[in-house]
Amino acid sequence: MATAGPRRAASPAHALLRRAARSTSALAGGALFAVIALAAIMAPLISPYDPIKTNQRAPLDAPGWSHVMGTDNLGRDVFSRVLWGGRLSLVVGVVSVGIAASSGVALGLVAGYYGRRVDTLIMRFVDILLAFPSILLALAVIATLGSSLTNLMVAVGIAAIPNYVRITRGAVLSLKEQEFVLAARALGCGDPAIILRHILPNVTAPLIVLSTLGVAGAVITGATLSFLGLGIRPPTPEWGNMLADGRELLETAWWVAFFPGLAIMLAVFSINLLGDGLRDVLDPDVRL
Amino acid sequence: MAGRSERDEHRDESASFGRVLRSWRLGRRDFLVLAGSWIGGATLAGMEPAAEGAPAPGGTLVYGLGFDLDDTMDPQVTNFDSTIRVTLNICEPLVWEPVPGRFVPGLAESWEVSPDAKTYTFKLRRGVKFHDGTPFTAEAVKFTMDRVVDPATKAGQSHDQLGPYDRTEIVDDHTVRIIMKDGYAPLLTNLNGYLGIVSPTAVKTMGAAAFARHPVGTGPFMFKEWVPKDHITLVRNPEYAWASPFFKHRGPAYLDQIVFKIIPEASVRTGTLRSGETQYVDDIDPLQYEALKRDSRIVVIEKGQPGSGFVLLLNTTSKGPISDHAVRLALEYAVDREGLNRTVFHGLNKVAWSPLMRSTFGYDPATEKIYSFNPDKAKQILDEAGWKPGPDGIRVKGGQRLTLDFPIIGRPRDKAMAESVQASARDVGIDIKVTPLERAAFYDLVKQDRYDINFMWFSYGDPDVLRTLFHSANVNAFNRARYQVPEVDRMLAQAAATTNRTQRAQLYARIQQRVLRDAVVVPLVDTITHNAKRAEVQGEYLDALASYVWLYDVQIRK
Repeated sequence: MATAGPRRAASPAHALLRRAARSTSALAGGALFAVIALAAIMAPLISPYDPIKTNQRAPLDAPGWSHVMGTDNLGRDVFSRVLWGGRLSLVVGVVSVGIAASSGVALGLVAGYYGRRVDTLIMRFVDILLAFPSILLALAVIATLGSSLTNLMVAVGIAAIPNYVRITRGAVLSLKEQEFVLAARALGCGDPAIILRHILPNVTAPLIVLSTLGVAGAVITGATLSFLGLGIRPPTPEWGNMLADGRELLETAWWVAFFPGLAIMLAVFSINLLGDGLRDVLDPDVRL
Repeated sequence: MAGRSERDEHRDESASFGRVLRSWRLGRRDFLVLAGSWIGGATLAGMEPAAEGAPAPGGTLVYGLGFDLDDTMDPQVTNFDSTIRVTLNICEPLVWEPVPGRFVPGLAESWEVSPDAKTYTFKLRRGVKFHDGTPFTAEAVKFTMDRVVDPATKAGQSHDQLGPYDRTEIVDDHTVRIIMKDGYAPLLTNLNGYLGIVSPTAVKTMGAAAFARHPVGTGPFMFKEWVPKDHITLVRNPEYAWASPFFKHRGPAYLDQIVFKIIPEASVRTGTLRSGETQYVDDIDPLQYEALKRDSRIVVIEKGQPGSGFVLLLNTTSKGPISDHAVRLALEYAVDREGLNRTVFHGLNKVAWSPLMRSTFGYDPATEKIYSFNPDKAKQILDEAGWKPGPDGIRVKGGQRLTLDFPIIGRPRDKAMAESVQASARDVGIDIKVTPLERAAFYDLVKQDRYDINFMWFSYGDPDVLRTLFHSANVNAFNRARYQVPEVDRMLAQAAATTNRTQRAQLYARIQQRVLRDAVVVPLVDTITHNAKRAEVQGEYLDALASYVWLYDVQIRK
């Protein structure tokens, strides 16, 4: 960042878009992601079949004109399931990042701004979270709370909290001694006002990058948990559990696992492209 | 014959099996019947017809074992059927069971069972020697049975198999009496496996730990080598001269060696058979079934298992709609068993209409006429019972949605079966909520009686398995329908105490019909073992439980 002045004026969304448009990878990633997201959102309109309607007497139809991606072991249309599955997979990604980012940023702001005991307390908590591999942590959360879609998102979210706390806290530490913060304090601003109106807007850049990339990670973690049979109830399609269904059929019916796998790959790839592009334009110094 | 029910953790995917006995603890009174009803090998189907090319003695058979051993080769300590598949060649049983309910002499030449099924008297074969040179006598039988109940042995499946064992009395050197605390019919069946006779001298001199690495019995093959997780080698016992009259030849086995290769992955195992690396494999990969059938170098061996196949048990005590007989009846008609068999088992099992599998004694073919796959009939039954389709297609009655809770253990096979049932039910307006759970959570729910539908699978050598599933005393065990009908309890007890096979079969027929008419069980499929071998292998025999392969008569055609 060249200047560290308050940037809360002029619509930040516009500024962001304008600058993102300068990066080809952000553009390409964003476009691809938009297509995927749009397909998922429009699933009820564009999917050719009911995603849970089975045809048990004639399962495992190969891709062809009637079923572009074939049918699975219960005779369900894989294309329709990929579309509908995307809704869940992407929602899991976005919502769990929302959970992780909101709680992580709040903790990071408080820890960085107040320091001392509060900081120690919060950072030790984060250390505890960090001590567990994120997938293990998510498994533990699901085992405790029970298996449901909400709990799946909470689990993925909790597992991702530490990153947000650490990035936010680091940024706050470098900001809080700067002149504009001192000026705000001298003018009589209270702590909440300083944190929310003066510091928060200045840490958004790395957070946007982190969140974008985080969605990709969360899509994968969500799919992993559902691959393991947790979180999503059958017959609801989700990319992870579709992959699990197809795993045993790879030799004879490759399409059952291939298309959901491809969907996960493309979604994650597009988000990563977008995230990388955003990082280049917003915040070249941050290394994530 | 390990207990195989959904409790078994280690072999989710395999279709091999056995049985667990614990109902005797719940106050069973058993009896038996099948004493002495042995038949000669000549009358049995299943042997290979002589193919062209003269079979020749000698050679090595490489057997692809579908499961690893559980770190012991002591038949009384192991919990795995796969271990017994190996040890039955080393430690022979008192009697063999080639066909369910039929027994042939093993180390016992003849036997007698008291009418109350409490006392089993065996006349033992003479001139039999253990691999360590010591003679086989009544003492060895007593030693083997006693070590099962000795806590120091840390017995595995054998402890369940021996049932309410009291003691063994040595009448003379070659006569022995096994005495039960309660009547216990399945003993003969259970001798064929985990109760193989071990050499007392070897156990005492080697110690249990060393014995578990190097078992010593009287069998046609002797232990040679065990490389854990890789293979076990057995060699021919040149002294062997006491084969059961059931077998086709006398004297030592034909094969020089048997190598049991441990290959847990079904597709890999099947591949080794096709490449010729193995000559016999357990449980083929169902997806390669068609290709194997077409391959002239390979013979697929199919045999139905006895006991109770995959069924749904419907909770009669639930507070939900499943306690309504009409809903249960509708499910009987709604479930597409054929579709389930195709989607989950690739058509390799057999559609079931009775809680007893077809190869079980007492199976009633009349059960096949009671229900059929008929979604329209299911809808009609629900309509007449007042369950009308709601806006989303799911039926409603008096504000109550027709939703059923179906918790399962979240493993691929169970999930696929549950999804198939769920799809069939949805077609007639029944919403089944399938919840895949981790094992402990699943058992908690079951214990708290918080479910409407439950899977069950119970391979077992005797129709008495129906007591395990439907007797009111087992409501907190495997009677997951929580079915409590005094008349059925009475019939189950009576069937267990009847020595006349015809009467016994009639009683079991009435019980099957009754539980089906009460619609507490929805049979799905009978499970069928699918092994395969190279065509040049001849003379092997798959036993009554469709689990153990007898290799004594095997020759490899040149």
